[in-house]
Amino acid sequence: MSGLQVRAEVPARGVELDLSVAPGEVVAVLGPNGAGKSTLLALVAGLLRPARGRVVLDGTVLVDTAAGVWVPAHRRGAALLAQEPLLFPHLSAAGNVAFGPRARGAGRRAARVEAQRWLAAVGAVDLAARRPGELSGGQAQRVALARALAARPQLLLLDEPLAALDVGAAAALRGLLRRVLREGRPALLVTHDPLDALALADRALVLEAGRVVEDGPAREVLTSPRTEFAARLAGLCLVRGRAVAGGLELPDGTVLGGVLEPGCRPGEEAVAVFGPGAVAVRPGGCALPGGTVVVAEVVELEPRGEVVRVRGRGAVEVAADVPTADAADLDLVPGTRVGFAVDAAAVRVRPAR
Amino acid sequence: MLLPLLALALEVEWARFPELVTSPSATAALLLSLRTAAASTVACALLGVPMALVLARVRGRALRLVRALVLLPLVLPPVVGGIALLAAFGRQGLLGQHLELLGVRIAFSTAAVVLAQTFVALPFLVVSVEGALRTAGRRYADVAATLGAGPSTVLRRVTLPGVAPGLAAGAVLSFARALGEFGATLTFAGSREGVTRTLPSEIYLVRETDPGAAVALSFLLVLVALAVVAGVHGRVPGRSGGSTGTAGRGRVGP
Repeated sequence: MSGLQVRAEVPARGVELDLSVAPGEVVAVLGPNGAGKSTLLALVAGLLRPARGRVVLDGTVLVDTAAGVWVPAHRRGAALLAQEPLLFPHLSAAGNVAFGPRARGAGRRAARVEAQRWLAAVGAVDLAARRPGELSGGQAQRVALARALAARPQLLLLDEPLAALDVGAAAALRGLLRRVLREGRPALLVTHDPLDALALADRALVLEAGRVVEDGPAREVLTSPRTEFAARLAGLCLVRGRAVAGGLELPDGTVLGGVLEPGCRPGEEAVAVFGPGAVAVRPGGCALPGGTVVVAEVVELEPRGEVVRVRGRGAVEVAADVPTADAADLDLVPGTRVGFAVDAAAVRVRPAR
Repeated sequence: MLLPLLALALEVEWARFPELVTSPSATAALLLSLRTAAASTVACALLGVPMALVLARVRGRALRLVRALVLLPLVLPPVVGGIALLAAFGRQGLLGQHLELLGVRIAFSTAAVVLAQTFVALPFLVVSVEGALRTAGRRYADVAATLGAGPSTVLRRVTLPGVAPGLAAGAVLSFARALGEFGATLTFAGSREGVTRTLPSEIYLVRETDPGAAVALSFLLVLVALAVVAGVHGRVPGRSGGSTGTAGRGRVGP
């Protein structure tokens, strides 16, 4: 069986993972801080031993705690590209890129030729002679990508590779990564940015508290989230409750009007997902026809150009996009109790799992 | 800090200075000092780098004890170090008596000078290199491993080049400490001209008969020390081989 299979427990970090990556597949790993994203990469790279578990890459068993198998990091063919480029400071850009080929046993000349080829692939030939200290963040990350690719990895491990870059450099490197990953290289991409997941990955996993809580095509995870974290990433509201005919019953007994998706049966645990654009703020609390009013306390106001995103917390968390002028008229400040009127036609109710 | 040095510079009989510092015994002492300090520095590097690697990389309670032992010479009076070395390598010493049977006699030889200097200077090198290793952390080594480099390649091509600045700084400090070594050397190696009489011993001896000469030789040692300090500041921060060596010496002029 090819591709990557990971099943691992690291009790010290509260991590218990079970996931796989198909050959040639790029999987985005999303999740809040401390969810176990970097732990996952460290487990696959061979920088961390699980207490129990089994990791298999392209049919080769890398870790099997039951059988006592442990393949060290340098024999795994899993190259790591982190948030910081971590170029070796005593080597030139070309020397850094030639590191992988040299470690593989290539001669000086062959390694240099290969380094040039990879520098060309990332558009950094003119940087070959520079020292890492003389490169900008974006340039250094480009060289670091070339260095990772020159090691001819079977799997690329990308740990928020764009997070430390400014917007322009990140966009340029995202384009480059897109091209590189399209060539059928399997990769695990840890990211905080839904844009990265959509642009680069085939599939998205959401980790929470050390477990995989969502797994599906990247687009689906981000447009139809089933967890609060994925919903927040996608800028959507997500509330939990029980499906009933015509909507979702919230924990306090209110029924949030909505449309049950096919496959969602009344009575089961469900989530309702809607965009803040479908929510209006009603100081009096009167409902629109066909809508539900959730009473909540304003906790945060976030200006977003023509609208203000008003976040409220009551029995559930909701958010509304209110036109900036209206927000001023309503005199909204944190602490005010208002009604959030949710348009039932825009609420989709689906099973929680 | 500067007052004693200034006083020393004023005390020097400048008319006799060239003659005093080029006398055969002074030259012999200076050359011996430079030679033994250089040898000690090499010995410190050979012993200290592996020690620093172990201290920085291996975790465990026992290691705290090891670190304390490595650092002990820093806080030990040098004369105590000398007596300890004598107990180990002296003619009736723990190891010395066996070496004696093999026809090797260390105490009161030039080797003893090097040994004494290494003993007191080693902590400086270990501390510098360990600090550099800890600052660099494991991250470069980890990345190198995921690029396919085995442990020995990582050590040779990533870890050691990474600590080169720390090693250079540590080597300079060790050299300076070795150069100034007196207590342990005198106790363990004695003061035979040309064999074990280093510049500090020479200064101590001539002070009895010719205080002026002692002052002149002291000032010579100050100059050497200043050159060393200037070397550290010129090389380490910039790492590009600065030119502060001459600037440092320029400041000394009376």
